[in-house]
Amino acid sequence: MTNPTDPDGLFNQEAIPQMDAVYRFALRLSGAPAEAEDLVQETYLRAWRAWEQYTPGTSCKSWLFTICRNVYLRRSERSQRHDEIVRQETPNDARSISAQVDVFQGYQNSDPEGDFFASLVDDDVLRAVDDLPVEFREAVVLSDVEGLPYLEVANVLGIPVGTVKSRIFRGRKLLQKALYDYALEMGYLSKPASQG
Amino acid sequence: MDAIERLKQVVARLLRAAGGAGGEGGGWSTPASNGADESANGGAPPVLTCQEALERLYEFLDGELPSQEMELVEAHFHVCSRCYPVLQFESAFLEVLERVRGRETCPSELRSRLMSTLEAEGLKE
Repeated sequence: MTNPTDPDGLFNQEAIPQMDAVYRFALRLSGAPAEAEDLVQETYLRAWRAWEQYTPGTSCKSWLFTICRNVYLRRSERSQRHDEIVRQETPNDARSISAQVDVFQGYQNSDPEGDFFASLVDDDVLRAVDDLPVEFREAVVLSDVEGLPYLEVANVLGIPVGTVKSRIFRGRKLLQKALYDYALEMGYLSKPASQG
Repeated sequence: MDAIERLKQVVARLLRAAGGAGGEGGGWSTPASNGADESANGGAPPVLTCQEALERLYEFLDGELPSQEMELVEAHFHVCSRCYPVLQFESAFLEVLERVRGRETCPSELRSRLMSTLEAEGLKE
């Protein structure tokens, strides 16, 4: 049993076991293993130095994700990459997203149980996740890969819960379409007659 | 219990229920109130229309609805042959995302390096 007044013990018990999750999140944010390693390193250093600010009993994983994302954004701002990524990759036009999501109706008919998802290998899935626009990628990764509840996703991203729901919805639809297109291309699915 | 565990339990329950109903006739009945005026429901417990259930699908799968609403949505998917495939499809999708969680782990070299750095910063094992 860890003594709550023992910061080392608490850090070892709560923060250290999250290293895999923080590394995965860093990898999804940065897209590059070397950069992800730097992010994890800096995240844990900052977390340890600010450990007295962590509230025992709250989600340490979310707290570490918040630090990791802040480190990433600060670095990205320095290199002016983040704004460029958001501007270039995010389809802010709602009609653009709707048009893509509409395509989704077709494959629900061709594979109503979504069996093709199971035929995809993990690397294909991760590649498709990495290709999502950053704001949707963050929400989908935190919710669907890391299993955070909406409120914790909202806290990590610093946005309202309603916006989290919207980003998760759009992110999932974009990802489903990307995976479907990939499954068609690879022959895991046959093209519906109505589409061709 | 995290959201994914809750989802697994709910979907497993629905799959069991659907297996029983689907095995007998390849489908099952849709509530009379779907798409219709719910006032026709009389004094019976409230039921959701397909649209109402589907609008709540993600929040249902994520375990984010209040318990009463969870039950209403679950009740709809139990009996609606039109909406049930959508639930299966979305569940299959979310399972794939959950699956990739175990795909990537922190490299052991990074872990060792990081522990050394933290110990140099005063962290005691």
